[in-house]
Amino acid sequence: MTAYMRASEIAKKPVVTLAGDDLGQVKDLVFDASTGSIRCFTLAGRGLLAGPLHRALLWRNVHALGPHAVMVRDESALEKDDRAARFGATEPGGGNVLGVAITTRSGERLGTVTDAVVETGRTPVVAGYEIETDEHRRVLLPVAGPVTVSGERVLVPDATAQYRAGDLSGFGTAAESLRVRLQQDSHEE
Amino acid sequence: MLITKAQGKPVMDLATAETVGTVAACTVTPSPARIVGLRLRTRGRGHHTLEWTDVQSFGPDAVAVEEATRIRDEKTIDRGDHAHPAHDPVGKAILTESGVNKGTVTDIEFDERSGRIRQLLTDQEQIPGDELLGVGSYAVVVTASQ
Repeated sequence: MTAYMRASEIAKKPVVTLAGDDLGQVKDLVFDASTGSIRCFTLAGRGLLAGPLHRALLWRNVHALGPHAVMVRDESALEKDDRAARFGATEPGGGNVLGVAITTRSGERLGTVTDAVVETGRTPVVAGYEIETDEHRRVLLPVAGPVTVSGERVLVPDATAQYRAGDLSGFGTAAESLRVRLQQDSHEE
Repeated sequence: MLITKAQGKPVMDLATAETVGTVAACTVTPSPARIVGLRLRTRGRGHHTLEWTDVQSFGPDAVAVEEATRIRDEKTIDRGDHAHPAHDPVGKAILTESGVNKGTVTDIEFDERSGRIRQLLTDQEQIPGDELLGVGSYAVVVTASQ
């Protein structure tokens, strides 16, 4: 079974090596506006008085993302500094997908991104977004198929609009249905 | 044997026939999962550590050690050493390598001849020793069983 979690829930999770040592905890997530996925985490030390660690953890160096911890192979998974985290902020459009509008390819605005939905496990990926619709409802929208992201908007296939979930427990079904639907569509063409 | 059953057993020096301390806990390394050190309660403050390789025999009533001079003060052991108290699994959270919490280690079942760990016990389940990946300061890490 695939488990999903909101990207914001990853904050404060401990970063633990396979040897069982904790390197710190996740402070913030840095999104990559050009792909819509997570670029890296910034870390803080553990404990009440610990400050920031100034060492970034790149998404690709995560061994596994679980509901209770972010696992890394060893300490070398961390970057020497936090340049990777600052890099995005200087790009046009900023380094964030939060607050960006989601629009279908045929031009229907679905809402704005308030959070990302992450598939946990050994190959964690951004599987969708939590959006706030214009009626101020929060819904979870799976992403699959051709998705184009800019600093201005996230473009998703038209079919996406029909597959949404109210909470994380329904998200897996919505994501799967969208995947099946997009496959059928591409067969018909 | 269970480590909780081994706790409190006297450690006797074969050269002098004196008790040098009692078993308090153990330190563990993975691949293969085995006990590498015994943490002893000795007279006075602090803990002392005895390497498993220096244990002559692990009997039902006492632990025999040939050279008691090899017992080290824990304060002199650095963090990288497998005998460092950070590698004591009891009381630590068990995380799978995919980041799922499986409870807390309450006990360890081990072979008293070889020191090999048969299983790690939690309140809910037994985890075979060969699933152990690491014992660190924060958690015990095991492979994610499907």
